[in-house]
Amino acid sequence: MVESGLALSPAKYYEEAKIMLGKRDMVEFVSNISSAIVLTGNNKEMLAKATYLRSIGLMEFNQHTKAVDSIDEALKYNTGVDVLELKKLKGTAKGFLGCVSEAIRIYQELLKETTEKIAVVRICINLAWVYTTLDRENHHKGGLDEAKKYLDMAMQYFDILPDLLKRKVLNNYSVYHFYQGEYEKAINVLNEALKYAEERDLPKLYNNLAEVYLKYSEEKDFHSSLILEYLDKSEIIAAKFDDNIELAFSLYARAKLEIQEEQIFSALDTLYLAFDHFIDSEAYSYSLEVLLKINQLVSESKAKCIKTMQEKLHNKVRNNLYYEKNEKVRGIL
Amino acid sequence: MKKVLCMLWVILILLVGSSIVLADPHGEPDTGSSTQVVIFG
Repeated sequence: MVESGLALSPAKYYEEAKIMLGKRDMVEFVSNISSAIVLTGNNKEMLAKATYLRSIGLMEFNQHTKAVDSIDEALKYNTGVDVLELKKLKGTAKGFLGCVSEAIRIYQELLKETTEKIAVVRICINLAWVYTTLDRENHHKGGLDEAKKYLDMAMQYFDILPDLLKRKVLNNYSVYHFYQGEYEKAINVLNEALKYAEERDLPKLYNNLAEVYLKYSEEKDFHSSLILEYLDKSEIIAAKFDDNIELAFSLYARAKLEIQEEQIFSALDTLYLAFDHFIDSEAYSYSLEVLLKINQLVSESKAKCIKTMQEKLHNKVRNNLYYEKNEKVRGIL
Repeated sequence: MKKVLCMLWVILILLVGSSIVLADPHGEPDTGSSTQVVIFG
């Protein structure tokens, strides 16, 4: 917080909030930006800046529900290009919250409102993200074609894009290739994306490489150490940057590897950890996915336990008096 | 009756569970860009 004794200036709290966002300190960020907004009064220019910063910050901290409320408030005070950015941010928050069709509607409306190349690319990236990652149920109903259409649009401007956008275009392309079953292409594109990534972005790419190799290993023999190497690197960097959602994705991929290697109880522990991190990130659709997977594994392992017990009873305790007397037990098993 | 309901529940969970497509690789949206704030990507 801004030190007491200084004048209670909203601008000071605003600047402090910016610093705290850079340091990824959520508590201090929220505390400072809230103070800035409360102290601003009716100064619309400051309200526009502060509510805008709060919206961006809440998105960065994966507080998507609160971000939507904040964006709605920010839209009252902001104008021009900032309105476009805020609407795009709202589409992304809605997407993360599972409101896929609303996210698509918001992005498609924005696409009609702008012709500026970089802005178009940014919206195309988001549409591709929704079609490849969020709307997986409709991949076969043309969703993947839509994703390709927007990715191709973005690729037209690839050379003029900053590294950040180059990485995002390539990462989304890799997901498209993955769902097309083109694993080699997905791996190549992800390796290309690594060239444009900063350290904090590496977990996303490492997790995706692990996922692609995990799937590819069903067709081709890969040693699991290759996948584990990517997951270890991803977890270390994600923990360094407090990136809960990538930590969750990494744990989820690790659990899948453990399931593949029939380490069911380790996989369950890992899935519970992934679930916690997805919940912390308000990624409810993934949390549900993990929860259902846990249910499935528990049911399967229970069935396995019952079968093992049944075999042991038949083999070793068959002549036991207690067992003979309790035919009902045998009936249940 | 209870037993039948339990069985149905287990079958339902198995059916729903087995139909899940696991997370798989995930793309990413653009959340950056701002005329007001440039913090990180």
